[in-house]
Amino acid sequence: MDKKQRQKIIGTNTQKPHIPKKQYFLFIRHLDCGSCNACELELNTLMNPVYDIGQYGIEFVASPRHARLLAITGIFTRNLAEAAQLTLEAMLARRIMTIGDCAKDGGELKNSYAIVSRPKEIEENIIQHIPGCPPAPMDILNGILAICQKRLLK
Amino acid sequence: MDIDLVLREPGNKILELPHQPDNQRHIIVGDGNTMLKLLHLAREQGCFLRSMFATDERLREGRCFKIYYLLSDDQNGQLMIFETDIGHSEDVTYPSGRAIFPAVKAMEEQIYDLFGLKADAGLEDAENGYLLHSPAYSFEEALLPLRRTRTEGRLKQIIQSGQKQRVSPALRWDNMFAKRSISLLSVGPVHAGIIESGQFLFYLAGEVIEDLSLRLGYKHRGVEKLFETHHTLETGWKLAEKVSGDSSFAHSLAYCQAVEDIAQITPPETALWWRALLLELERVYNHIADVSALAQDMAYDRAAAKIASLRETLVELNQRVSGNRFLRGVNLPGGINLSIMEVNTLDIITIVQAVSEEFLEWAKNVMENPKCRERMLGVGTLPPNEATRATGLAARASGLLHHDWRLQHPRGVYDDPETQKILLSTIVPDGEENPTRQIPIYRHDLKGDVFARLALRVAEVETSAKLIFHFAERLQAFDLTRSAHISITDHLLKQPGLNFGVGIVEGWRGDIVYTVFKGQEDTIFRCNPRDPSIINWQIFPATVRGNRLADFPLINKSFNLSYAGFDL
Repeated sequence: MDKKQRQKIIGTNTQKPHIPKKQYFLFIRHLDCGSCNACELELNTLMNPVYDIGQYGIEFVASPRHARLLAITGIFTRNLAEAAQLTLEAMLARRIMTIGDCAKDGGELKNSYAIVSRPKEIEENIIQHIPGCPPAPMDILNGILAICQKRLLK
Repeated sequence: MDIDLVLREPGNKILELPHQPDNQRHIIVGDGNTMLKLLHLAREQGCFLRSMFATDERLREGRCFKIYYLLSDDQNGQLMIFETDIGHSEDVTYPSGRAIFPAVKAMEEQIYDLFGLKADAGLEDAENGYLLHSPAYSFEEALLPLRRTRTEGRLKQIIQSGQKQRVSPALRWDNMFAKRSISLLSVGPVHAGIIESGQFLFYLAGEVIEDLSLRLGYKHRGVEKLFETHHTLETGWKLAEKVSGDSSFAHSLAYCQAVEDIAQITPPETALWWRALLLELERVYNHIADVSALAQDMAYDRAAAKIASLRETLVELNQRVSGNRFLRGVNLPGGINLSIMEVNTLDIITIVQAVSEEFLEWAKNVMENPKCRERMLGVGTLPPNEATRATGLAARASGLLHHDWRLQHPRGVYDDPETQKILLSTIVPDGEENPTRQIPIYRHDLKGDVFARLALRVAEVETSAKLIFHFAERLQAFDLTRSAHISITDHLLKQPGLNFGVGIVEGWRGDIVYTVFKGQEDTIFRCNPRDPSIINWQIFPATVRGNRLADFPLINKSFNLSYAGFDL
């Protein structure tokens, strides 16, 4: 297969998201509270050139102190409860987005002994939930953009 | 394996169960010391420890706790199952096998946390908990969730009695602070990127990592208990998929094989070829993602971006084949469910060929780039003596090429000369030429460092692509519109209650082992998943020692072990 042929096949078989190009400004901190890693992979996918979340002015940052939005994936395990609490306390503005079925109600794992109920500070501040196991990157992207468009962070 | 030596010795209580399948030997060992003798013998004869777990059979016929060892005798293609009764008392101890097979360390710790059964050596840090971190909560009674007496109601009761207490992070490491003259750096459990949660403690001398302590278990989700309480043998695959997201297909496949082993059925041949094909598809997209991430860590952004978008093409192919980007919902005990296929086998061949050829071209750039080579060569070398303890990709990258379940125990579609030929051509012997490989990776490349793991991934992508072509061609001989699934309900109900089945699958990280015990009718009495990460996290600190802290992300990425698969 020559290069042109290859690139044609790859091009026709890769989705190209069509979203109006509008610039926002949002720093997100991701927090894994006990996922299976699939939601993380889909979040990572958002940063590849196909989705390129950076073009909308959205970025995943390392420090919770920089972030205005906390993206939680996974069930809320007992062992991570304290770390999650500390992460939340480090944030200036507490707004939370939950990603995936596990983060909604535990999903397939909701009856486990290892889950604790989430503290009030988290439950009260959830402004967006993205369903799916795991949700497709496009759904996550639309969810994040909806937060920006509806100005839910103000 | 030849166990006559131990059998003949007087005083040893050993019973071999008759009527086992040809490739399986089930041996019941009377006491702990005989078990240790057997394990010694097994190691001397080159057996590899695949899994070790406990069961609580106090309410069953045996009325005791039992410990099971699963070993594979790779020369004779046999699976050895050692079973021993360790009594029924609550505070029983059993002899530790750690001195013989170091890999059982994590498994013994897991048994201590989840069953409260103590090995007689090596559990010095026990009061801190391994999977269940005890200091953060105090319960009126230990949780010990996997004991059968811990019903859902009882567990809830204990959990409600829990008092949350805050412990400073430094306290938790307290008993590990033996090397006080070295500076310490604690990282995690919440990391800086979009990755899973786990804690590392580095012992640093300047910028060199003297030692590394791991603290995992943060993501313990109680998967094993959920198998017992909320699933039947026929629905358990839904949970198996969620043990480790990137190996969803391999995990559910291992689970399904274990259940089919109990029911003693073989799925339709179409299903077997499809499973083999999809398993390779999962391997390819994960290896490609890892090469992309490694390139990113070495600041070769152009290749990283290009390869990451190639991964996306493959993940979308997954979506069109199975209706799910992670190949979920495909495997069922008794076959596969591919009702929503939007592509035919020819499309799969074309797309995989285009992606793999494009990928190999970019991977070649990464491997030949002098700056990248400098970052990778000789960095994160797995010492040879530790390599024998590793499994899967980590072991193969140290030159132990036979460490592949598809080669060691070829059954079903792998017992096929063409498949074996393709698998064996992955690595080219030194000094030979292999014109069929786009990028030949030689044996001398596999020295156990970061470069070796990257090179092996590249070689395996090429091999997997060839396997996909081969499997897809074989599938064309079948009528793919017909259902590739047979009902196993009747077969399951025919089997007696104390039956168990083993399923082993070579996932992209290494061998995934599922042992499923059947209870009454179609209930699950116990299900023990063993992800390769459980073994490989234990050799990971040895790889890091002596390297610079700045190289740690690269070494970590080159293994890309699963936290969720370890914590379960």
